[in-house]
Amino acid sequence: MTDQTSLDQIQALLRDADGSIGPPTVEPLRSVIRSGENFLFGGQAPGVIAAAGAAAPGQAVCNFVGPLVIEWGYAVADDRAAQFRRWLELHESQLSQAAPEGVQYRGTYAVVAQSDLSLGDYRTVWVFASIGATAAMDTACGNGGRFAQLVAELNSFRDRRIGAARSQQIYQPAAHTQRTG
Amino acid sequence: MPELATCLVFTPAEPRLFTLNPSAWLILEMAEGISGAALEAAYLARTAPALPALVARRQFEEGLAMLVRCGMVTRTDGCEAAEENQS
Repeated sequence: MTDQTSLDQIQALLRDADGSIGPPTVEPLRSVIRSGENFLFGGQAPGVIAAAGAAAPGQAVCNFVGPLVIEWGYAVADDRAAQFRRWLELHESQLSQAAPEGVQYRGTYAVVAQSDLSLGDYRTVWVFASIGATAAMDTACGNGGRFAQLVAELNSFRDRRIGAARSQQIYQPAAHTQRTG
Repeated sequence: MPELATCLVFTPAEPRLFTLNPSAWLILEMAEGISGAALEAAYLARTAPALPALVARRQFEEGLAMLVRCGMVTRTDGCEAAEENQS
């Protein structure tokens, strides 16, 4: 048998966020490749490396979402969905206003239809004015301010149980992105 | 992987990788060289008082059955003792 200390450590992990102890689960490992894509991160798009002011003409005409878009995909447990919706109603505008410079909260969406159910039922979309703005978000999330609090509250609704759907996508304008493969 | 509250198990006899949540992980860690009854008692003790004995007993039976089915635990000596088969 494993030593007492190790068992104590596992026992400390038993309780979920709501304090309950879930039934045992044993599932085949699902591997997800999160890197090794065909595109280089941070390419030629105006504003990606450093804020360049105006967007490229084509992007302006098309009203591009932004030079760098990050999409969080996740699930929310059924019994928390109504509470999550209520939280969004009350706090989305605050989240938008509290975002640091160069970072835009562009909304949380419910996925009405999708072909891949592993990505999650919800998407939260962030737009960054530059790669540097991702660091600004990191700093803002770590300083304990109102933005950090709101992001933490938003993420607290995520279903983090093993097997729960989740994903992350990072987009940049294809017209200015080099392909390696 | 305590940071992820997950145990990653490889079963060499039938090469596969599995993820276990902490409840299944606890059963697996306590399973080696122990009787079924003692293992059940140990699980009940570790999950009390949060889980009523009836619920804990049902969880234990389901969890042990999964571990056996996936080849991580083998019952020996007339189901009296369990043996871990993991890497």
